[in-house]
Amino acid sequence: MSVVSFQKSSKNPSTSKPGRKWLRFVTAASLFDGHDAAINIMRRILQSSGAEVIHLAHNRSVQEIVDAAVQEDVDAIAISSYQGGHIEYFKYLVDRLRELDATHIKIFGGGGGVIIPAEIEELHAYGVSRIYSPNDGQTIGLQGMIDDMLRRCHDGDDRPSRSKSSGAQHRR
Amino acid sequence: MMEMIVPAAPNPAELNTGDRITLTRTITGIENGEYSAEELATLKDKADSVKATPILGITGTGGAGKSSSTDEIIRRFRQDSGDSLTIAVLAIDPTRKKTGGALLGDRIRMNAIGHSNIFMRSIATRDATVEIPERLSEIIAAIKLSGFDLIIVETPGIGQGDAGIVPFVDTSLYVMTPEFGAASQLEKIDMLDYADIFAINKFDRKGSEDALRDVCKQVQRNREAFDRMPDKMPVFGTIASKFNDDGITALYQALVPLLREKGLLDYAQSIESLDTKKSTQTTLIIPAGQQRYLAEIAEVVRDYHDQVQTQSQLARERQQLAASKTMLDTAAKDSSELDELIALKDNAMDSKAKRLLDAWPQLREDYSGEEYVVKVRDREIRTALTRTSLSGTKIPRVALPDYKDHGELLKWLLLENVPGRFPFTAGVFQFKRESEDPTRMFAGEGDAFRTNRRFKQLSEHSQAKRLSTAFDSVTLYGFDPAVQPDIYGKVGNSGVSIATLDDMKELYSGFDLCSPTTSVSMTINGPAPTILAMYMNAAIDQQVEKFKGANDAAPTAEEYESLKAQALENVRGTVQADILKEDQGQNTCIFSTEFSLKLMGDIQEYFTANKIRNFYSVSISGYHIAEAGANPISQLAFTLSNGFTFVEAYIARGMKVDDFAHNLSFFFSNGMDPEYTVLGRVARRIWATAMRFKYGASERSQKLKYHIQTSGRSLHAQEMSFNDIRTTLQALIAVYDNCNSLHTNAYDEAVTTPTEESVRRAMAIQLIINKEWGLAVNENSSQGSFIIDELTDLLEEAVLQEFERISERGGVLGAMETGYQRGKIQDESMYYEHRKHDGSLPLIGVNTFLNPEPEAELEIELARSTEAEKQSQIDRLAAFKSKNAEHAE
Repeated sequence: MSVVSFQKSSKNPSTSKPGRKWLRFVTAASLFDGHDAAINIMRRILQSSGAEVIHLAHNRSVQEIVDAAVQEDVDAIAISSYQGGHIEYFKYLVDRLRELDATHIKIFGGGGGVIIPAEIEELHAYGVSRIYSPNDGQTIGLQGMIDDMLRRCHDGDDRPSRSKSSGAQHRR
Repeated sequence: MMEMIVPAAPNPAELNTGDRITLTRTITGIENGEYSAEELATLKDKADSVKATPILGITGTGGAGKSSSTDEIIRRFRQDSGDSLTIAVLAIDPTRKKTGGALLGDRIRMNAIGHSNIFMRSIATRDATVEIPERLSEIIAAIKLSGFDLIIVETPGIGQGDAGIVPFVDTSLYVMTPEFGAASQLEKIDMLDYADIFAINKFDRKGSEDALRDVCKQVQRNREAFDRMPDKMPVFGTIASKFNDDGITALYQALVPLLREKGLLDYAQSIESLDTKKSTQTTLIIPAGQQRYLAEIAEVVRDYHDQVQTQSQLARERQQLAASKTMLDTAAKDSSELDELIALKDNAMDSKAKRLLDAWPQLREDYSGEEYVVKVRDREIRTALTRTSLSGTKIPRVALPDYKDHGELLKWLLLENVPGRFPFTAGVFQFKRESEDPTRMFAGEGDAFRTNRRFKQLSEHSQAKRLSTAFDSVTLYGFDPAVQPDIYGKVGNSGVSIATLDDMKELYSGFDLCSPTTSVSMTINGPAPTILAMYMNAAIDQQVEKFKGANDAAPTAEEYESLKAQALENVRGTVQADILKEDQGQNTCIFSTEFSLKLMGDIQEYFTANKIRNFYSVSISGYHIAEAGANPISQLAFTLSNGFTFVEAYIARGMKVDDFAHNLSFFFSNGMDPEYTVLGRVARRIWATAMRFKYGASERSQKLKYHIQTSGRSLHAQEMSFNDIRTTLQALIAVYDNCNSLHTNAYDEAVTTPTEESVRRAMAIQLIINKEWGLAVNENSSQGSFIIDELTDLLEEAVLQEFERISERGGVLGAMETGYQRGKIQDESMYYEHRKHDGSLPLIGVNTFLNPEPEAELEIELARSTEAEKQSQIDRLAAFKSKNAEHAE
């Protein structure tokens, strides 16, 4: 089984490239999970789409992800999980960020067919921004998924754009 | 989530000791240009007014091991100071000008930063035209104001003009490798003028001593320090990738006084002072003189082919001359001149070649009767030589060539031969076992109890119990089941959870582990030594229990030893334990390659000492390499080269090849490509030739035995029922190629954990081939076909060429250091995906011959461990720990 579907991946990279706004991501494969092919492809597309990627490679615990995300002041976390236990893993990630008052950090994930549609819904409801499925891969392609992530970080309707703010009015 | 507003940039005036959140957000603010010039100026002034914080700059050439060195230096600071220092690490990586993106990858190598005293932040160069971001001094000021005892700034070395960091730091360290080329290249490196201290990392590489000398001299020249000897220069030989390397410790100890001058705290040091300036443990796993082993193997195999050509030509000419002589004699003409020529050819022929030709008529005779008689360990086994079809045709189990020409015949005997004879191209055994089909029973789910029930169910109808065990990822990484959610969720999923010896005993309960018909394979690598020890103890304890039952008494110490020896000599099975392929394709590494190889050697020595003859100490695996995307040539070349690396490593530690070669086994994937048809043939021929002629190994050691699993990567989610067709073809060529063991995948594995129904179908594939399929009654059907012969030669040559490429990179371990195998596997994976995507690689039901009807939504039966099983594992572990508390430290 191939990890990534190239079906309908757009030939031309997104035209909606973020302006000069620097988005930062932490990327990794989940704990006890060595499947790094997919996350490597995704983080490369993130990079080529203009994002700064703090890559942690594979086999990373929630604690390591959260430490890195907070210290690195990132906009989002992207995790691949192919070894099962994804419900617990992603929920724990949401919980830890909540505890640290870092709920502005978005969580993205993917795990091929391992994460089934009902579980994706469950995770979305819990606070994960988006878990991408093989079906997403076929309909919007790899670049489409990355564009969706960037768009959600950028102009998620519930967040102000940092670059637009002049700074002072946001300070206490 | 409720709160999703991104926090605004804080006021820099709020920076204070210990507040990491304000610090990191301020850095973001500085990077994003959210502060006014006045704010930044105030920030810098304020930082200048606080007490001095030493700043160490670390830079160096790409791939020199800067991050690993930084990590190891942090580890020394932590260890030496008893974690009393607070350290900030700022890692800078270049922004790609074309895309604006950046890979900030330094955290991957940072294993020592997991402590609340350590703060790490990665930044990209963004708009800067050099390797230093525009607002670096302001960022450093912000870090200073947050109160750290030491600040480390790591920058990328770009080209030779890499001294940009110097003005920003107090002390700078330059990290390089011995591979800088000629000594004159050193004159171009700016940092050799500016850095305070130098590390020549990867000091176990070739030419490191010369490099150390050259760099010392260059630094001496640059500093015009001619009053001191070159070896007094602050240049250190280090191996950052090695645990507790003394070269790094020496470097650290030289850094401390330099940083003290800049205000580093005077903490009590606990690491003993060293007087070396370089790593002393540079022993290589494979000695320097043996580094070319793969190129030598390629040479040995090619030489053998040359000799085969020469010998078969001589045999042909000798035969032709003899025939000419006979014809002349028949015609009553003078043939005397031919005698000398015949003698000439005969003398030039190798005695072994002559013996093979002499023995051929007898061999043919032996195979033409009703039965063949083989001796296996003092037993005489009579084997039927033919099978009769329904139509009454007698089908030979081994069909022999009908060559009359001695050249062709000798070539066949030297390159093919019958199964069971050198070079074992057609198989390592003369005949297939009749009592045992090469079918394995796979299980691994939930806890030991559930998996045990599954094993019993799967093996219900087989006399041979060939159990294959999959472990959950917690076990695969050597961890215990735990309530921490990121661990908890994985307990008992995609494999069985085994935490203790008691779990192991339950897992195989009811199976006699010392019976000759039981064979157990365990898919585990990192923690293989531990799991194997549990297995052996489970087998021994079974024998002890049996003894108790029979004798109503516990065995005496002496009896115990004999039961133990008996058990070890009789266990049959395989442990995967192949650490090389983990690094190349699968990533389940828990120790360094070097340490893992040492452990593997320890296991093999134990096997040899305890006469564990029927258990494979390693399954040298191409399967995961193929699943990660390698084509069949790379799969075979990487796997065989890994196999030869184990051989070299074991020989280097003093073991004899014949003491361990029989404990090695192989594991390949069979996919759809044409090369798979001859994968086993080529593997066997290369292995046998190299073992015989390079290593002088015995016949037993020359035999390469392997397990085949049909390719999981060739299974598709679309039109899933077609997958069984693919699996059938892959299984068929595996059987034709005389694999020693076979696993057929279930058609639904692309989507889910296989169900009972799909596993049954997969098993039927093997049974139909073995029991129903006509040609499978013959055991050498791949021999004698033009295309098979040609494909065999082509694949063999491709593998030898790959051996040479790996050899040029310093052998398997050298190539792994630069990620050669990994990179090649990824490239081949991408190529496959592209060909699949653009349709130039036709996949039926996937990218062509698409089903016009929409596929029915698949009812997925979720195979997940239950809460009860997870909880029970955690409880069992706790009980085990408390029961054994007195034995534990």
